[in-house]
Amino acid sequence: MGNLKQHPTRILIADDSSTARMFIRRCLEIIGFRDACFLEVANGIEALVAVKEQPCTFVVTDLTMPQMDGAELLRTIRSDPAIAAVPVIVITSSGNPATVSALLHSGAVAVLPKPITPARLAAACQALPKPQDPPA
Amino acid sequence: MNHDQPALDTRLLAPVSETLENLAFRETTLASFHWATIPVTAPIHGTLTVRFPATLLRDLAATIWNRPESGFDTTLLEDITAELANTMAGRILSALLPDSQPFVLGVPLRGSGALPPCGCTTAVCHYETDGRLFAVCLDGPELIDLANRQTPNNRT
Repeated sequence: MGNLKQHPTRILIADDSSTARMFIRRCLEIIGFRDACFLEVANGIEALVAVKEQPCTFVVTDLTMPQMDGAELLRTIRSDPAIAAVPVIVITSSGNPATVSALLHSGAVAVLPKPITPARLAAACQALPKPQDPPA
Repeated sequence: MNHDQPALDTRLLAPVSETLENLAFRETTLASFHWATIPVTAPIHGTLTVRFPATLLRDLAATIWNRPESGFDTTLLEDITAELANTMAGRILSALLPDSQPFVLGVPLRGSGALPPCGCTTAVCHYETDGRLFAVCLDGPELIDLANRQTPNNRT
């Protein structure tokens, strides 16, 4: 997280709930991303367009969304060489160990159960690759 | 058997109101609610609905969004209800199912006023926060059967 703060940070938040997006953004601001540029979208398709249009430092996405859910968004990002290195944190209300394991296997940096807290999000952000790290 | 909830609420209002007026000198009106229904699609089928009285929800909304109670339109109140219901549904299913059992929740349905028609297998659980009631309703025989079972995660 320390290295991220030395670079322009763009964070994409994908969730169909404006309340959830506000809560995620608030948590990120609390843990040190107050000066980041936040992009907010309501589903996976909009998220994919946003990630391809402008590079994102990382993505925070809900799992259950209309049109394209978080799991498909994650798989699509990982399968596109142009954006495959973008770290993705998944937030889900369906976060039992089996679901978490499947999402991590698909390439999520972290999977957080709802309700998220600043502490959980901070721990997940510690696992983000640093800018000098080679892409996964 | 399903029923027309708004019609039923209206049909029962007069006798309910007359009773309270005569015995306790209190006026009764139709209640205002916001609700959200979360479909449970695997490994069992059913729905979980959370229903908040409008006054309670505005209070919760003001806390969650950190803005005055007057600053919420119906769309945002329903969005808040859906997010709360989605989070509750996930935690309830996690508590009822074994850790190794994945489950799938659908996109929330949301609305205001009377609840959508429920089946005859509905369990309604009432809770209160700050002295005000709200309800969590389980609909569907599989979901209610699961909730009735003593599983490793919901033994008390």
